[in-house]
Amino acid sequence: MRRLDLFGGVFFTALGLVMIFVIIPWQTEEGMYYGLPPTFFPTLLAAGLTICAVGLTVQSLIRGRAGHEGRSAPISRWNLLMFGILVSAIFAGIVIIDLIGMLVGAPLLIAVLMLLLGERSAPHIMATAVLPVGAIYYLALYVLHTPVP
Amino acid sequence: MLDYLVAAASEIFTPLVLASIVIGVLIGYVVGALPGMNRTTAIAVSLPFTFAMSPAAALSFLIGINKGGAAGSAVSAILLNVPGEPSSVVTTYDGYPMTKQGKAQKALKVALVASVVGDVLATMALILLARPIAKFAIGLGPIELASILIFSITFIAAVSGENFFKALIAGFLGLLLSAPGIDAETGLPRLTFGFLQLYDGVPLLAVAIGTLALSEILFQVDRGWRGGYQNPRKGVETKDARDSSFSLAEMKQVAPAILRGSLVGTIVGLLPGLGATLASFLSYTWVRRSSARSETFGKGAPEGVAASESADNATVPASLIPVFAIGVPGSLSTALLMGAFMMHGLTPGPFLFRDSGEVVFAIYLGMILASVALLVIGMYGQKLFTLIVQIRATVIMPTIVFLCIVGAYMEGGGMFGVYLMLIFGIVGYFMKKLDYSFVTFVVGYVLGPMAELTVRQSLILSNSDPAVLLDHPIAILFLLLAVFSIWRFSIAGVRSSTRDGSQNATTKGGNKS
Repeated sequence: MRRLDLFGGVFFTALGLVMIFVIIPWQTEEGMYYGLPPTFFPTLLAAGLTICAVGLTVQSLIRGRAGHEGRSAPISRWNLLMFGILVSAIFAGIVIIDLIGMLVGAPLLIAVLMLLLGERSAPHIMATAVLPVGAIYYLALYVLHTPVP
Repeated sequence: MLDYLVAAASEIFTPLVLASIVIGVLIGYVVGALPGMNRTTAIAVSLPFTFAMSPAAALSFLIGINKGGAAGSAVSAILLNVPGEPSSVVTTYDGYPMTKQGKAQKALKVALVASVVGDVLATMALILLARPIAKFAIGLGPIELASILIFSITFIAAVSGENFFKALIAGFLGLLLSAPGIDAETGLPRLTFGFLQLYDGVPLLAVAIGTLALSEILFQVDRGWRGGYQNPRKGVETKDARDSSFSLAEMKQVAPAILRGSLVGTIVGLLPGLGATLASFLSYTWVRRSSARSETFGKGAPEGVAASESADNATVPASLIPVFAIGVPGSLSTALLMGAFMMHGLTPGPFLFRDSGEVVFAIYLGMILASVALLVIGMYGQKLFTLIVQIRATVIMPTIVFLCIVGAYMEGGGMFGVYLMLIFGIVGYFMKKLDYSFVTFVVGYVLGPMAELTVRQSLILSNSDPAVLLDHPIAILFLLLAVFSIWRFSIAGVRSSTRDGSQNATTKGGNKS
């Protein structure tokens, strides 16, 4: 965990500096202002972020010297692989919903996720894939009168 | 006052609003009862469904979910020894032993009564305290408000998470997330990267649903893959009718525990960042120490269940006191509720009572009705909840992912919000894994616009001269408290961990030799 904290500290220090010197000036139009420029608040926050990230880096280094490793890293390669598969499935589901709509895309997404999680009962998959989608479709369109994907 | 009450009653006592309160409590109860799911997820996913409601109905519905979730989490803690939420961990100490003794129904009834009493007493505290505090807060200027915000964020960072720097980093990220959009002074876009959808700021629902609901699902799935999903288990059946009843004599026996728990929950709920879990632990410890039968605790003492559950539920209304009075949320659920206030055109804080008094009274009425609904649903729905805790995770999780997608879409902006929600889901997963505080992140995001306004006004009013602070003793007090939090939890924290680390290294070296 200490090593991950060290990487985190370095990453956020870099992010803070990039925000201050690149992103904020590039993505903020100055215009006419009376009190403080529009870049003031984000720059103040990015500076705060950078200071805390430097603090985290120094803390991790000091802890490393003192032989304080903390608990073991909470993410293994297996976790990352499974996480990647799951997120990819959700992303694919969102793209399908975007392309062909919720009524077809959402049951497909739910069914795939259930299979990924280890569900093998066809009636369960069918019921879970169809009933919530139908219920939400009805609720959104006919009760709440809000659009759905 | 009477005008407000009449207007509030006419707003709340309509079939649709009453139904929304009952449905809110029911959703909260069900989600709370499901192991691994929590009320924050339920509030985040339900937020978009409140667009069509009036502000009072929407907020009563969401607060109903919060209340139901706090009470429902006791069900799985008692029946399965698996707390529905971290705040019900303490309930398992005595709740599950009672179940093993065949007294599951009695334990559920004790938990329900304790939850309802804790909830009602804390709601009374909210009604009595919020308005006077708000009256006092109206007199505060931007310098005082800015210092209160700085103190709130540093204090929340100090008490949440293991590492103060990581919690503060999360807070700054949350505050930075509130920066994109049209700048209030120049009217020009800032940090929008050319996306029109960001001109109104980063959508609240994409952030809330992504970081709180979707990331939770990704996290739960990850845990399931690691250790295998928990198979549904059945609670122990009660054989003797006396074991399932909760008599008046038993009520008298647990009453002191309930009152103590309610007091602890109300005080802890008032303070930012401490949360329901700490409240239930403190309450349990206090009740056990002061009990003449302390040896029965941990072996099925009803007082233990009462102490934990009353404190857990009392934190819900109490945590709304700082939101109503000064517009500062102290927890994830109150940050979401504050977001809901803003989505419905209300500005939480001292002016809420002046500008939207009738809505505040309607919310109070809604909260009292939600307490009644909690009691009725808890009394008659126990058999249903016993079945609900056995629903498979493989059914619940994909359904919630679907609800996340629909919810993120509903805020407007089309699929942009959905893709953004997925990104925040991924960010939230890594934040959770690497222990970057969610509370400071979300509170920072919600407080961002107010923080910018007050900091800007303070600097302009004072001409950036720190000597002006000498005329503002309240601001000095809060800034000193913030500095103390930073010193205590960062500098002193590093020193003590270095000392511990050195000792560990010496011990290890000694052992090796």
